[in-house]
Amino acid sequence: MKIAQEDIDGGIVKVTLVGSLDVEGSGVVDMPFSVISGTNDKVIVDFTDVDFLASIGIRVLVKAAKAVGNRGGRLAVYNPNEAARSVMASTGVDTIIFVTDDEAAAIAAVS
Amino acid sequence: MSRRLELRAELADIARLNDWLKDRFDEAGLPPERAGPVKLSLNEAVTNTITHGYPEPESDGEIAVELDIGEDIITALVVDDAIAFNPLDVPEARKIESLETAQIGGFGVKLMREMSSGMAYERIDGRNRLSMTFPRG
Repeated sequence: MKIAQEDIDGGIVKVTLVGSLDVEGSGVVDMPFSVISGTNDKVIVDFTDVDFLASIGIRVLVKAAKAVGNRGGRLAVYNPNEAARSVMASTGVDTIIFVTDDEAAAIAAVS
Repeated sequence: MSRRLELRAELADIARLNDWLKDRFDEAGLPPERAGPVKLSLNEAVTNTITHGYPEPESDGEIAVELDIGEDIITALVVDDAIAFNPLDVPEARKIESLETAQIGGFGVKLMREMSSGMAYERIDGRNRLSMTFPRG
């Protein structure tokens, strides 16, 4: 699992995740993602290359959503695959983060 | 044909599980939409066992996963010597509705229930036996 971050226009931080959000992958991204969500109010996450999302990955997303949301900020995830989208819907995490089809919609959601 | 994988009770072995599953799915020509629920459910079941099933982190736990990809039904069986744990007894995790009330974890069993078409649990000879079935077609 790889995580990259980039500052884009509008004070938005774009996080790109590549790999599996399983036990191993979630362990890799947990700390850097906590730092990002603990210090930024507008965060978008590119899920295009996340090929697997388990409940431990949902934990990472909920923690981030709480950290950003408690400061009045917004978190959006874009372009998850069908399986990841299904896990987000089953757990209801898609009610506390924005789940969008593409980057432009994610930017609009957090702006 | 049923295949069997033996795992150590260490989270690092989840990667071995997923490598093994990928080979089994490729071998059977299982499309991602059918393989995904099986992989997710087994990840949740084995992670639960490793995380909660053994009192000592370094204990010599034994976990075996069997997978039978039949023509109509896929059957996954997890057998372990962890403390008795019947996931069917676990109350349904509450779906997240708001930031304030969202629980951070506890969704593993919920996902197993939703992804599988059937679950059965037995405790036999000091071992948990959890079987889950999934439609093939």
